[in-house]
Amino acid sequence: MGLFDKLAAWLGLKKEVNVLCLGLDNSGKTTIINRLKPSNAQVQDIVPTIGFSIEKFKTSSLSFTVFDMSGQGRYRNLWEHYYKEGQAIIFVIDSADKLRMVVAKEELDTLLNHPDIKHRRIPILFFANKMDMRDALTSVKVSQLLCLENIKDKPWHICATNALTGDGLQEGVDWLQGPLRIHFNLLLSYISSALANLLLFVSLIPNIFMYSTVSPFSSLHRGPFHCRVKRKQQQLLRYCS
Amino acid sequence: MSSAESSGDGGKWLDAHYDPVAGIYSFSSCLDLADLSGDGENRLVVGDLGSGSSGMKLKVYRGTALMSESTLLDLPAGLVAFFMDLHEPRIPAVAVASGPCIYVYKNLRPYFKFTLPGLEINTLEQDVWQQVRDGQIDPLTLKEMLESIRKKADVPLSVRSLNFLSLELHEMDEFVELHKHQPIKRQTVITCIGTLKKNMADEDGVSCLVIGTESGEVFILDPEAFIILSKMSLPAVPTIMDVTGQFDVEFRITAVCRNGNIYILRRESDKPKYCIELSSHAVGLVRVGKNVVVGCTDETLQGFTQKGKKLWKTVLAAPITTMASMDLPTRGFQAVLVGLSNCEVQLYRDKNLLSTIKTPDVVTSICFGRYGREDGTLIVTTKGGGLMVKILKRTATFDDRDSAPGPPLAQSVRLNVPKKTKLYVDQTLRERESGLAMHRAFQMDLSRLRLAAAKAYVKALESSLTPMSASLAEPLKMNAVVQGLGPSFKLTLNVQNTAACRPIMNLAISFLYDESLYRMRNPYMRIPLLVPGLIYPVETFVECTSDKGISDIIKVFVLHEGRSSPLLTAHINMPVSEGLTLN
Ligand SMILES: Nc1nc2c(ncn2[C@@H]2O[C@H](COP(=O)(O)OP(=O)(O)OP(=O)(O)O)[C@@H](O)[C@H]2O)c(=O)[nH]1
Ligand SMILES: [Mg+2]
Repeated sequence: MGLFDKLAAWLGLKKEVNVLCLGLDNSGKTTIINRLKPSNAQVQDIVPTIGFSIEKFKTSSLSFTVFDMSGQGRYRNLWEHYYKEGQAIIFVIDSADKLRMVVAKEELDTLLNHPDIKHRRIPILFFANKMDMRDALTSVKVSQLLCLENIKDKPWHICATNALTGDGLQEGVDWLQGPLRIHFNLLLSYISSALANLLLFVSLIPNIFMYSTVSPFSSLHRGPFHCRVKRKQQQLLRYCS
Repeated sequence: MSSAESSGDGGKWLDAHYDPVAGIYSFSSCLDLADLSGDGENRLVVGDLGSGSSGMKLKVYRGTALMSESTLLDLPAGLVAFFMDLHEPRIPAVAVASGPCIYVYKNLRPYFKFTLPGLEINTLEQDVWQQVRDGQIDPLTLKEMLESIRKKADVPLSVRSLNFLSLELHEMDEFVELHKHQPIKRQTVITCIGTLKKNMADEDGVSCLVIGTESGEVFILDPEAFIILSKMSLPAVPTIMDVTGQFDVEFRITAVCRNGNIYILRRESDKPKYCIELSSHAVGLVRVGKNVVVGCTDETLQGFTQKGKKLWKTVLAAPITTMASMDLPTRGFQAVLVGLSNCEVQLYRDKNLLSTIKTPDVVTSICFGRYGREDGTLIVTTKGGGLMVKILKRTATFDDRDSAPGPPLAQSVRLNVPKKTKLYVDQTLRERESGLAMHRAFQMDLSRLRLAAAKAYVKALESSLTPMSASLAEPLKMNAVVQGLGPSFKLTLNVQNTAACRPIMNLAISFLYDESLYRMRNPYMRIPLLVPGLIYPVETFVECTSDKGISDIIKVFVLHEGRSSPLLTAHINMPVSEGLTLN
């Protein structure tokens, strides 16, 4: 943990990261995200996602906001509306669905060639899910079929997972924190120095400090973004119905 | 990317799977897609014909792998997946039609066998066999009697009697002994099978089976009790069937028959309501909305309304091997897939070709629908037993370029036509008012012109003014060439006898000219014998004696000795003598 992380942790404030969870329908996106949530927040039965849903979970240093997109063909055109906001991508593949590996590749290629993604060094984490299934392909085979070796300008990583038991998920999330930390160092240094200044200022005036806890800052920080997301969500739901 | 490009489909399809040695030998009628496990993942069910005499199998594919395989007793004529009941979980049954039976599988296990009712038996035939059984007649008499029954009977003989008639004398006794105690049966076989929703249009509504038979009948079976709900008859044997509607409400059965006609049956009547007479036999039939598209053996694709009115016809590049419907309700897209014997699958919307897929082998069956979890999946089996799965790209669009010849685009561009002038308007008015008089005046002038032309022609003929002689005895042709700048000219007359074989003799050429202007070396020349066909150049020199730069006509006459009128006359317009004017 770097100095800034420590500082952030000390402040009880975690870096907010928006993650897009993409992949074909039935690949296990919702199941994976559900697994990553704290055990008291996990749900028992998982149904196919309609449109998308927003989930949150935390690691020691990051606070993830995950856009769990529906993978059904008719909703896949929603994905691109979130590319701008995403700071990392989790791409889930059903390793047992050999027939649709070409479809997954096609969607991945479309994603990589999208103007909002093409020129960004956005980290992509691949989950070769359902590795417990009898006829599942290995993660090596999956990365071959998806031609992952051709991704040269973005950090990526693939892990074999079993979302039902949670195997492999932690490895993936640990990897994701690396590129994100690098990516955020600059931003974080700004935020934390600003925060440190503020804190200094605030601590100098104890009566103001009384009712300005840390949370107002964080909500200040995410206010406009969340409004935007809310608006877009409403728009899209209207568009879908 | 490049492979998609080279397959020639414009990159619209993803190649999901290809197994050239899958060992599937089947037709489109024996292929279906259904969620046989109730897990939302569709399987491919194939009635495999094997080698045609053995190896008939019911195969089920899941994704890229063969999931199960069971032996069929007889050649499958058709296969459909259908919902028999409303039990949960909603898992469809599979019906395989072969011979006179329908074998129904549930959870891929044999569940029920339905056999078509026997046909009416000729009573005379029955009596004869009864007599054989009683020992009243011997096989020879039996043969005679059966033969006479066969000739005049309106009810055909049973298979047993027909077999008997084909036997040699020494085989008869044994055959009769073996069979005489069994009752006679006459059985028909199923030629095609389809499904018809009972009373709900839902995707998973309970469906009746509809079967067409070799006896030219169509039966509708109750899905649960397997009793015949309805029986209809056709004038010929149905081979391909399309069924739409609901049994309890309104339905329509379009049947392609072996006599080259298509009959359309409806709920109200047990006889065909409409008939489409095709110019050649049909190979495939696909319904698109309310219309049907028929592929014929004369390499054409034809569209008809549901009442049998012909809408269009288009000619294909090769004979059709099979056809299937491509229906994507989520995208509101409907088209027809046509397998051709030149290793192509073409996609047609009405008569417009939308896209072509090249295949490594000739396609024998096509099936389009939801396979696995993918709605737009195209399944194709090939002559060599290959299985190919292609998935339509989510972003693929088919643009309807209308290939039919129509007015070119430029035609609809508006031209900048100038405004009508006053003169134009006046003339138009005048034409409108006195059109009759104008027409008469024109006709009169035209007649006069024709008369004048005819007169001139006659005169020319009479005075032999033409370069061709009019006399039949001496058919001659002549042309004249003047060479030189002057004052001396060379005059060449090419004379030709155009008769078939008769030579012409005793001809002479004489010139008539203004002697103050020209001087000629010999104004009268004799022509040698003219052999037919050859061109004889007759040359002479003319000298222009005037220095005033004027020219005149020299007349040439071809004469026959002893006759006063010339055979041919030519007027030569002499050029101005430039030799003099230059000086
Ligand atoms: N065997 C096995 N099944 C899994 C695994 N992960 C998910 N599943 C199952 O796969 C099915 C689909 O999971 P979902 O999480 O709904 O898939 P999804 O990607 O969210 O699908 P959409 O929301 O439709 O895009 C569920 O029945 C899960 O139980 C896995 O690792 N192994
Ligand atoms: Mg989901």
